[in-house]
Amino acid sequence: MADKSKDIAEPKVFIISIGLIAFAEVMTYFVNPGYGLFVHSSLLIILLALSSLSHESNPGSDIFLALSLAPLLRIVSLSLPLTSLPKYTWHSISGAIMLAAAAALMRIQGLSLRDVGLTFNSPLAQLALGFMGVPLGVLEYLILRPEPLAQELPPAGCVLLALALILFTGFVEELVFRGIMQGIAVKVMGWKAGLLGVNTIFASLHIGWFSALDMIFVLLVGLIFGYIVLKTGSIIGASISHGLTNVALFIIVPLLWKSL
Amino acid sequence: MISSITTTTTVAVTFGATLSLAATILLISLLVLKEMLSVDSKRIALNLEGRLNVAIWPLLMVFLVIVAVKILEILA
Repeated sequence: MADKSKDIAEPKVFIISIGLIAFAEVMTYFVNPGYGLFVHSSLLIILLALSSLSHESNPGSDIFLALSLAPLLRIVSLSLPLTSLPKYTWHSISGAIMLAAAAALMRIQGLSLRDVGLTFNSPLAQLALGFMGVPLGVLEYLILRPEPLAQELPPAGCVLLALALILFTGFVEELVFRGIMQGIAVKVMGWKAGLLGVNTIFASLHIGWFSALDMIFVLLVGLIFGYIVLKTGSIIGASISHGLTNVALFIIVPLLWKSL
Repeated sequence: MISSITTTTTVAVTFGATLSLAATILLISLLVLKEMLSVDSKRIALNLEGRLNVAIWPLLMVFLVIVAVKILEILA
C-alpha cells in the first residue's frame, strides 16, 4: 500500500502544487488581487478534484485535500469585508472560518485529535518551545515594524485581543499547517520533502508582507516548529509559540517601541 | 507570523466588493457542483461531493459575514 501511494502522489505533482500556490500569491499581491483570487479558486477546485479522482487507487492523494487549505485560506481572507469591521476582529473572524475548514477536513479524512497533534506529549519541550515565541516576536518586529493592533484598546481589550491572536492565529495556523498539512505530507512524501514542502507553502503565504527577509525568517521558524512537531507528535508548543510571536509582534513590542 | 491577514486589508479597500462577489460566485458554483454530483452514483462523484464540504462550509461562513456586514451598514 505504501509503495502504491508513493507512485501516484509523485513529488512532481507536490512540487507543482507548491509552485502554483506561490504563483497565486504573487498574482494576488504583485499583479491584481482579482486575478489572484481567480488562480486560488481554480487551484482549490483542481486540488479537490485531484484528491477525489485518484482517491480510489491511491490513499496518498489525501495530500491534495490537505493542500487545498492553502488557497482556501487566501480566498477567505481576500473575500471577507474586513475594512468594514474593527481591526481587532479581523484575525478572530478569519481564524474561526479556517478552524471550520480544518474541522471539515478532519471529519472527511477521519483524522483524530491525536492524528493532528492535539496531545500534550513531552510537556517540557512544549513549554520551552512555547516561550520561544516572545523573542521570535521581537525579532520579527525588527524585520516588519507593523502598526500596533491594539492602539486604541483598553487594557481588557488588549488581553482579549492577545487571547484571540493565540487561539485564532497561533493555534489555527499550526493546526492547518503543522497538524493537518504537514502530518499528511510527511506520511505521503517522507519527512524531509513533507517538512520542506509544507513550510515553503507557509512561507509563500507571507509574500503579502512584502519582505524577503521575513519570508526567510518564517521559513526557518516554520521548519523548526515543524521538526519539533514531527518529533513530539504535538502542536501545542508550536501553537503557544506562534501565538506569543504574534502577540509580541502586533501588541506588546509596537506599544513599547512607540513609548520609548 | 500571520499568513491569513497580511496586507490583504489594503487590497480590500480597492477591491472589497468585487472580491466578496467573486467568493459568492465560487460558493454558488461549488453548491451547484455538489448538487449535480449528488445524483451521480459513481464512487468518484460521491468522493468529490464529500470533499467539496471543505471549501463550502468556510465559504458559507464568509457569505454570512458579508451579509451581516451589509445589514449593519444599512442599519447604521
